[in-house]
Amino acid sequence: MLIDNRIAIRFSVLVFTLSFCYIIAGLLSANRHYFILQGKEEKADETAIKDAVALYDKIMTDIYVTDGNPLRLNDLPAVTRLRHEIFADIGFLRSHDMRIMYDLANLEFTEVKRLNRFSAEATVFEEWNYQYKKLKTGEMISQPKGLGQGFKYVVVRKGDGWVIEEQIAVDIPRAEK
Amino acid sequence: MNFIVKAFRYLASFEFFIALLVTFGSMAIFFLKYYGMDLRHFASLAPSRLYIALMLINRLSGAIGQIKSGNRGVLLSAGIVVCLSGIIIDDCFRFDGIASLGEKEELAYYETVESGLFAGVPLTRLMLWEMQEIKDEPGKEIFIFVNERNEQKRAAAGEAFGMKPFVNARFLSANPAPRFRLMSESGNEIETAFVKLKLGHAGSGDYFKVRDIPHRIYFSMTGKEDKPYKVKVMRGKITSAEEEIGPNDGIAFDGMILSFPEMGKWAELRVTRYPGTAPFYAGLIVSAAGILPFLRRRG
Repeated sequence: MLIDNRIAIRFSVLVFTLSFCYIIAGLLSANRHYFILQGKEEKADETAIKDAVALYDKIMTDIYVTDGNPLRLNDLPAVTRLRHEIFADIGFLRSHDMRIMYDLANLEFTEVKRLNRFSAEATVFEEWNYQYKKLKTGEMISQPKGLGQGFKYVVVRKGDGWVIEEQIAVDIPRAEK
Repeated sequence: MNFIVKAFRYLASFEFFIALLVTFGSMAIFFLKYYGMDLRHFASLAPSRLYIALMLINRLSGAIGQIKSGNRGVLLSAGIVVCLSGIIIDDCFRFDGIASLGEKEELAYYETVESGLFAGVPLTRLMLWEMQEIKDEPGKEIFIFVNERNEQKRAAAGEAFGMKPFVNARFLSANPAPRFRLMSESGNEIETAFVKLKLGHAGSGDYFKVRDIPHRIYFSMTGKEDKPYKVKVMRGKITSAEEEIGPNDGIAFDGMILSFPEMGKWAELRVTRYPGTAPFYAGLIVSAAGILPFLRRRG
């Protein structure tokens, strides 16, 4: 009985040591994110994701207002493809001798869902005012109009922050105030 | 010196192997439950690879010692070595790719790929030959694929078929591929092409872009007979046009007219190669056979 206990204790100590070694090896490896409990990160991530979406809309507005001035382009939290889309739109308007003035009236998050540690989806209802003007003279072409549209932003972690990988229009009801 | 020899003997002992296995198993249970990981993903984590390598070295040295001493546990150790080798082969050479094929289109590239460190793309040819409606089940089709030996492989959605040794294809789903036609207001055709869209149930949509214009075209199926397509054209944050249309209608926006005169289909395929699966199961069978001499003696 005494021998059995000794073997059991020795075996348990060995398994415990090996488990400890496994976790240390995990923390030192490229897979370390799996070995860090995620609860604390989630709240901070939600705030950072919301900030990234708000900043995207703000800088996008600035780019349109300045007719494609790329001064703040590097601050735009978006992948290159989305940046190209903005400039393609500005180019399209230019070819029609127009530019657009956007003004974000309201931004309401209906859901922020973390898909995993590296990607998340934020669903937003946005209200915008916009107006077309002539490119050269700045003369108004249309009266100011308003729009309300839902967007789903797919965001991915990049370094310490989040960037927008995709912006998809979705049909969601206007958030109740 | 004596201590080093003793330490090496212990590292090659069955007790050390069992301790590694128990640790590996308990970690696997935790990761599978906590992270919802599958076993293959868990085995590809860096510390898991280290433990598998340690177990393999342990049983390999154990098997060599058992052969020398004529120990009856040699079959069990050999089985475990084969089994662990299978896991390592899978980890190094596994390939898992998603591809899409339209009618008469040959498999040329994968949209997403997950593969092992030494894995290449499986050298295989596959063409989606045609689609046939299943009798009595309107809206459901059998897709006929043709491989490099000109053999026909028939599969309904969700079905798998073998392509080569260790290489399998699974036909995941059939999706609509409408042909769009973009015209200028003066009647000149700007562009026309089939687009592969991923639409689920009626109402859920997907979008595509047309070269040289900044618009995104959102497309979904309404389920209505006369106006089956719901089209929304957006530029930036602004909706340029939104309408439910039929195959003969057009939708006008920003000096252009868009129509969808034809509807095709495309297949989403998953091609996998796991060359270590056969050694893994063979090793399990040999290991089970290796346990028998121990059971017989006890009995």
